[in-house]
Amino acid sequence: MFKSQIAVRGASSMISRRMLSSSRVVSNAAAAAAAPVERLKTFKIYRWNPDTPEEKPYLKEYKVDLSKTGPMVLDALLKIKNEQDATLTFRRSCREGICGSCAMNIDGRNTLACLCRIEQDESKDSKIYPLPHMFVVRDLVPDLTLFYKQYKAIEPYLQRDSVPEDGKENLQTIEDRKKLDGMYECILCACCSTSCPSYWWNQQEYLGPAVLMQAYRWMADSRDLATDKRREMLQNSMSLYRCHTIMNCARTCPKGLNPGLAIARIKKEMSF
Amino acid sequence: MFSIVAPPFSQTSVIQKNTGFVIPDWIRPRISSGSWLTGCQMFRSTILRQPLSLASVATRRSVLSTVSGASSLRTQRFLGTIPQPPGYIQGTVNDPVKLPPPSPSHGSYHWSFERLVAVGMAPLVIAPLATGSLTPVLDATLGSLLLVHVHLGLESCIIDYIPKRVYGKLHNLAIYALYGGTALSLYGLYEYETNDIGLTATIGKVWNA
Repeated sequence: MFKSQIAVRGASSMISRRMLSSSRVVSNAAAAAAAPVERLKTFKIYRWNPDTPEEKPYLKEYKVDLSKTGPMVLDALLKIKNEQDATLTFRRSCREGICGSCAMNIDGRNTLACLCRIEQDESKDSKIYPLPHMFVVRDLVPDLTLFYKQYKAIEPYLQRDSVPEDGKENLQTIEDRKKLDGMYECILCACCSTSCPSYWWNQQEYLGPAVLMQAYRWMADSRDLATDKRREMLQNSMSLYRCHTIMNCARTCPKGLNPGLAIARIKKEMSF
Repeated sequence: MFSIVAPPFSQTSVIQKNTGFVIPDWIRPRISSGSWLTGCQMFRSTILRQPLSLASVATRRSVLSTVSGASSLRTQRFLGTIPQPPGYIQGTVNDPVKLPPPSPSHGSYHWSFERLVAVGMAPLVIAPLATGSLTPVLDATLGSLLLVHVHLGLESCIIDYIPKRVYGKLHNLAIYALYGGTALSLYGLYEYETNDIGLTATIGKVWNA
């Protein structure tokens, strides 16, 4: 008795599900028939090829149909590379703002292509450049060698001269852990450093906001015991004190972090 | 993140700086294969010091285009500035950048001094606005602090825009000129405070004129 009822219910739910899915198919078909409205948007993309160094860099135009493209600029770039121009070169990896590979200058702002929505107004062109004031390897790929060398210079790893008593973990209070919030999230995409005029003029000597925030991330860590050494490294006119609190770093950070605040804290703690 | 990067200074990769404006060819460093260092030194001592003439540029270009494999860094720079290494890389790509030796007088002491001067000026600026006048000693103090403040600010500008790394002796020249100007201003301030009406009274005149 029960079994048959259940069976009947099961059958009816099967039918309703099938009806639903078929109606969905119909609506999809209707949409496909009704909405082939092309929404062509022009992307102007910086191109430079190291194989032909005598050719100056130029902006190349691509038209992309927004109705067939994902919402983010990275989707448009991938669509261009897949369908129009396989020679277009850029870095990308995670497509969700956690790897920092696709950092570029989109419509005048340094950001991650995967986190930057395409401006839906098709009448406006979208301009895409590599990160400003960096050496270009090709197209949208900047040379970040110096940036990584600078990161290496601040010794971004835990330094202590003693081991924990239980021989297992370096423990930390919840309050101490909270001090790292807003700094450990940095993915080193270099958006902030390359938006900083001081870094533009003196990147060989000034470490830049991204690297300085990571320097402070280790100074602020209660488990790290090399704070004095870390401060000593910045005791010169160039490495830290070329920061003039312009604050482009905080404005441009695609992760919403504030490197300017971290730099201000280093200066304050080193001062008195 | 490293996956797509070509080795930055391989024979084929010519690195180009994206500055947003077109750099004339004669400024842009030309990088070809081989040791840039030896080429750079050879170049700085000889060709760079020659006066720039159209003919020499033309011949150098043609040499470049024909002898592409020759080892040298070809560059002609504004005001004889010091050529920088390709990609700004000193040492190998795996070394950390070298940080200068610690010197608190250029670091935290300097920064604290700057702040103290700025903070010290604040009451001296407010006082004459509130009371209408300052004693000559306080007036001279305000003038001196203002002078120090301006000197430190301009010194920062020189470090930013005429860096020693690029301009060498011209950087020193700019710093000397700044010290000269400050010394002259200090003398002027002394004359002004002892033989004239002083700083705040002069500014006050703007309203009373």
